[in-house]
Amino acid sequence: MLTELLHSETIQITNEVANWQDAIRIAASPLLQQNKIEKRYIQAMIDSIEQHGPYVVLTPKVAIPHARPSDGVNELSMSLLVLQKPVYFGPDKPVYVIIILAATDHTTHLQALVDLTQVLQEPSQIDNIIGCKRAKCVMDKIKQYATKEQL
Amino acid sequence: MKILVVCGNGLGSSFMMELTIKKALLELSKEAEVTHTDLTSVTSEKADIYIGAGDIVDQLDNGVRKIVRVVNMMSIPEIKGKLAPLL
Repeated sequence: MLTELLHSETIQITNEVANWQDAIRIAASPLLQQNKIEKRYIQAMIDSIEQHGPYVVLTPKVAIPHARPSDGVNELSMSLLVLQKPVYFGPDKPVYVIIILAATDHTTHLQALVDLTQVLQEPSQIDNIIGCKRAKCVMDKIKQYATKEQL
Repeated sequence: MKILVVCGNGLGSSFMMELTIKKALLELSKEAEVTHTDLTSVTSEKADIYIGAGDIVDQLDNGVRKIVRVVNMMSIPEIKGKLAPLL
């Protein structure tokens, strides 16, 4: 399921961004363009981090910003941004990979998160994704890691 | 034994951490009920252990609750190390 959501139209690679708010805006822009989310969802993700702290940095180098379905999600979707230079979500929270999660309810996105957990549980796999220079490389790695337990 | 995973929205991070905790319990050969919720509904749920990112679970610390602060929510070794003494 993860590979149905993260593909050439939702994966971006860029050199650097000004701050974590911009990282979220850029990472979410494909979903906004495809009308999967409304503009207010982006602000809701930023507000959530300002309110609760950088807990979206689930594991070193990776942030998964998200807000509630009612904050402006039109369709279950995800997007991913890889940064060549880290952006800081907190003083000791450098982030290279931003994965936007837009869920429509509490259940339909769970299989994608099971797959994503497979990808993120191994630090070397995260480093391999950060090393990618093209979206195709990111797609291939995710496909390889997300499905390895079924092989 | 009930372990409650808490995050800001109860949608993403807490579920992914729940998966990691279940793997950690399997490796420790321990059994526990693991569920996840968000910060606003947590007061209505009772648990033996409350676990989550420090930013989040610090808000639950009333001096009585057993709180586990996790830095790397995807790390089976970290979660095993922090849960093992409490099980």
